[in-house]
Amino acid sequence: MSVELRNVTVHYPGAASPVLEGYNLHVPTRTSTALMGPSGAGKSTALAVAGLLRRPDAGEVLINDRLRTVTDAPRLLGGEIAWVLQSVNLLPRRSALDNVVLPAVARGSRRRDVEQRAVELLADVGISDADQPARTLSGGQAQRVGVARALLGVPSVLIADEPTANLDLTTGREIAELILDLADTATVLIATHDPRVAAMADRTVEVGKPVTTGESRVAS
Amino acid sequence: MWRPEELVDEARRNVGPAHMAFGFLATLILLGVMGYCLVAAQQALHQEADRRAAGSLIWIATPVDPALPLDGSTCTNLGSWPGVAAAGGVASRTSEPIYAYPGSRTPVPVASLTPGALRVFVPEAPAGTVALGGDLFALGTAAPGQWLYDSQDRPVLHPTMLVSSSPLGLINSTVITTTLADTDISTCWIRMEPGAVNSGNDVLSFAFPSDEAFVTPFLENPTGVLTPAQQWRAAIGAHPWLIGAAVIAASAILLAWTRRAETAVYRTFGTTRTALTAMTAVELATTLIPSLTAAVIGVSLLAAARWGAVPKEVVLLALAQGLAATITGLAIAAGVSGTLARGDITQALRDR
Repeated sequence: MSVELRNVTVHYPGAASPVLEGYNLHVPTRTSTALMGPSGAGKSTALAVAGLLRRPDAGEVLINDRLRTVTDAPRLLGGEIAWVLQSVNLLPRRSALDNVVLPAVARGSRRRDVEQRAVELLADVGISDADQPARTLSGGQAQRVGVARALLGVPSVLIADEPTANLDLTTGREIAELILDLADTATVLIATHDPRVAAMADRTVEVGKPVTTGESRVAS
Repeated sequence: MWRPEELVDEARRNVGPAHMAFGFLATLILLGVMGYCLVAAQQALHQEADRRAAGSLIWIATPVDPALPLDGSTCTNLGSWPGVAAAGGVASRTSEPIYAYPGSRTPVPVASLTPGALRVFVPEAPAGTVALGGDLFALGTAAPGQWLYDSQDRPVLHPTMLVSSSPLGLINSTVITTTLADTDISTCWIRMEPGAVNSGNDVLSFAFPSDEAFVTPFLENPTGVLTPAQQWRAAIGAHPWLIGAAVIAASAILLAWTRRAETAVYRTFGTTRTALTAMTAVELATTLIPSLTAAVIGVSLLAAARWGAVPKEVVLLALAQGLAATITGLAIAAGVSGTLARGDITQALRDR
């Protein structure tokens, strides 16, 4: 699935100027694209619009060339579109397993039907104790759980917002590899401050420097 | 789209320490609501019992002209009228002195009442009994079971019953004997059934025309004092269930507000606000059902310790108030939590 933003404008209430204005972005199918830029440039906002979490003030979102809005979110999120969030956002009192099965159960699966697959995914990302409460996980472990959660739904689009923030170099690299390796089967859009993470993606786009389709600056 | 059974299971798994604290608070609130109802009801019932003991059901007819006594038969016959529980009057003060023991020169006061008259003020009194007023017993003048004597030292009266207290001083301070029904009487009393108390005036006025007798209630209603019914209506008019529901709802909404980041996590998986509202409702119900149960048990134990038996109607009303507070609080909180789930998900996710 390709993801495209067309002339997107987002203006936060009280802000002097729009965080995004006439912003364009095209992410081809089954590629990984890293969004880079300074804090406040609008990386997370661009992801939120592309991932149907935020309604833009102007502009359009096309997923697989079909116009989509936040009203499509309940149908697409957790399934075709999966998120790995900036601050992980696991349910802290619930187990790692509970957090991983959540998107699938929210989309109508029976918990018992997806538990085995969730345990396998957790093992794949290095979490052996599926019943460990999320609040006791380290930052790296929590982010791994977040990745396993995103993978359970076999997404066509994976959006990751600063997934390596607050992680040490080694762990951050491992998490980035887990996410970006998915580009073989899914379209991956990742926001990061870390040039090393960006360098692992197929393409890098500087947010704050609007580009049009086909004109994205591609990293080496 | 959540399967209903999975949504219920998810809500159950979400119940944690914050819900426990909310449940404890809800238990206290519901204890307050139901306890208030019980206390208000018991106070009203006690006030009603006190007022009846003081003679609130009794009406009196007294002659317009003290020289023209009332007909005792007319008064006694009122006892068989619908709505009249007992009727009778004062026939005379006995002129023959009665003494507590042979040789005494201090007479014991005796009042002669028509049959049934004592039961106007002492409902449990057997017909025709000779009763001893409590004041005489307290003074040591006489005791029940003791014979009383005439001036020739012959035993003539044998009080078998002690009237420990009566709202009428005449009964407390005399030995009460029974005379014939068709005697002239100086006063006619009737005690009405509780539901017919207001018709007492009509009954006596019909029996004794206005040119013959004055009719008055034995116990005047003091102005500015709430009757038991008014007191109870005022207590329930304060809508304790509504106040309880508002506090429960506010607490539950605060709980939902502190968990808005978790709610936003569900939204990133496409969970609709309707599903989130239902999940919140199940979480709250899972918490509030034990709270209501605990509050019912708690208030029952407190009531049993304080009052013993409580009338079934009062218990049911208190339960209804507690249930109404629970259901209304839950409904308001679930509805508002659905509204809290609106807005920018990304902002809500950061609001940890």
